[in-house]
Amino acid sequence: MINFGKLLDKASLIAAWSDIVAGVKLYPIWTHYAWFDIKLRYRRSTLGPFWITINLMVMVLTVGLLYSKLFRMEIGDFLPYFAVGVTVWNLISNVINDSTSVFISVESLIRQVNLPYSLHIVRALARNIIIFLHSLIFLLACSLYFGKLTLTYLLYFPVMLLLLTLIFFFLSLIIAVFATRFRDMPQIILSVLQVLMLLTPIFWLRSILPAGMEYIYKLNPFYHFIEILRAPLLGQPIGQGSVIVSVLCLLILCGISIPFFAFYRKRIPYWL
Amino acid sequence: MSNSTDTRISVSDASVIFPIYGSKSFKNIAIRRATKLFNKPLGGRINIDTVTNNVYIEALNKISIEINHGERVGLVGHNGSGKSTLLRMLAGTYPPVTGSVEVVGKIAPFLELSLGVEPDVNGYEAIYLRGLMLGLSSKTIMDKTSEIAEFSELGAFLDMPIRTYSSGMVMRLSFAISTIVNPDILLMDEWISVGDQGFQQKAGKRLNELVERSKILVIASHSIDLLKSLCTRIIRLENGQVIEDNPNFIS
Repeated sequence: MINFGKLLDKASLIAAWSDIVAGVKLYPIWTHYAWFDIKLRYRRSTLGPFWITINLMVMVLTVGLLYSKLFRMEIGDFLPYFAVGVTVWNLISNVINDSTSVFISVESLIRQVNLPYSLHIVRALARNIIIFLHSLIFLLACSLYFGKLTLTYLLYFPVMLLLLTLIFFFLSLIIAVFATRFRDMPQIILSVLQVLMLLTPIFWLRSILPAGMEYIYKLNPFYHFIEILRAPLLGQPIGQGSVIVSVLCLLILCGISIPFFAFYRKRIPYWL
Repeated sequence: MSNSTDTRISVSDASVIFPIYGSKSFKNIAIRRATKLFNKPLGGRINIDTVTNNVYIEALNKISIEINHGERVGLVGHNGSGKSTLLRMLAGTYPPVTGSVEVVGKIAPFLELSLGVEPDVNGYEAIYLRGLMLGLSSKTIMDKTSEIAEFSELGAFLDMPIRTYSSGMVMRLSFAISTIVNPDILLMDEWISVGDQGFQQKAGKRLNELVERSKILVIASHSIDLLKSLCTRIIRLENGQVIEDNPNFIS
């Protein structure tokens, strides 16, 4: 058996940590690349990234009007709830989907230049956060129109977005390394995400679940991730449980991903 | 930049082993071929891990090299002998699977002359993005942009998307950006020759200047004449191993 040496020791943990620190510190690189990714996607289009907002508006209006009738809900309650929920979900699913190809898409770069691997992760993350922020104006307008917005709760929003960004980072780290080695992962993740989207209260309100079925969302960390951003935008207090679950997820992901990254970091270029 | 006499590369017992993942049938073919070709190998050794039943290619096998300040090292060997892999290992893009590589000094790898940017960015954007990736600061790139633009002679084309460039134009631009750095250690996979006749001369001159300024040069080449004119030391690789190391190569 080929001896790959001792992969997880103090030195590799330190190397992994300094990779992360160095990657984040190279913000001139990842911010620019993130902007360019977006700029290029919408180059030669007149409205550019605001197509994201327009797509969202079309979706929100259609589903908002239809579902509020189908499930006999107040449109003022459902529409802003759905708008925020689906936008945050898009953020989550884009982050996760992009993670699966984050190293593979910069293969030639990884082979040429010795850059911290975490840089590529932060770049993809930054790109998705920027896209998300493009939709924020619409979400705020929507919430304001239906009289949901309150300044007090809105102040929690930046903090919660930061919390979620940190969760995303460590989650991306694990997925990216894993998906580079196992090329079936992107497909598996795609189908899991599809199911999760339906299981998470986005298209439906928690209150319509029959009694005793609350575990469907309570056990779903993605519900809590959505909730910590949805509540501040809808002028509601953030459920304590959701914050606790999110912080716990951050700690667990951080605890898993750093040793995981340390263990496999040196193998990444060989898997490309 | 590090202290002038500090620059050095020390490689000890370093191996680079590529795992090849594929279907079972692929494995069987690989096993058959590997045993057949064993006596007449070109490239690294193809191995089968008997425990995990995976196929591995040993591109570099327990290499130990010390390169000190001032040395000009030429790597020679057949196709697939491990020259490029060694250069990539020194550049840090392939961390050794076993053993260690220690490099003191700033490295500039000239291993691929692709820009590594999306074809839709224009020339100026490519300069900026590529410059960032080469470790230049925003300010340095801004300061050097006109110099790069002038050297590339691309003129108004720098405002056009890269996809409208001919391959020669892309190489010109990439060369102009890549050679703006000021490295201690220069890693080269063959002498870079870019563009038409006029540009080749200019590029050659600039490359020579870079080589002169650098404290260590490691170049892989098949041209003995080139190595004779450049190098002070020749390392011959075969099947991922050093089979000859001549540190007193006289030009």
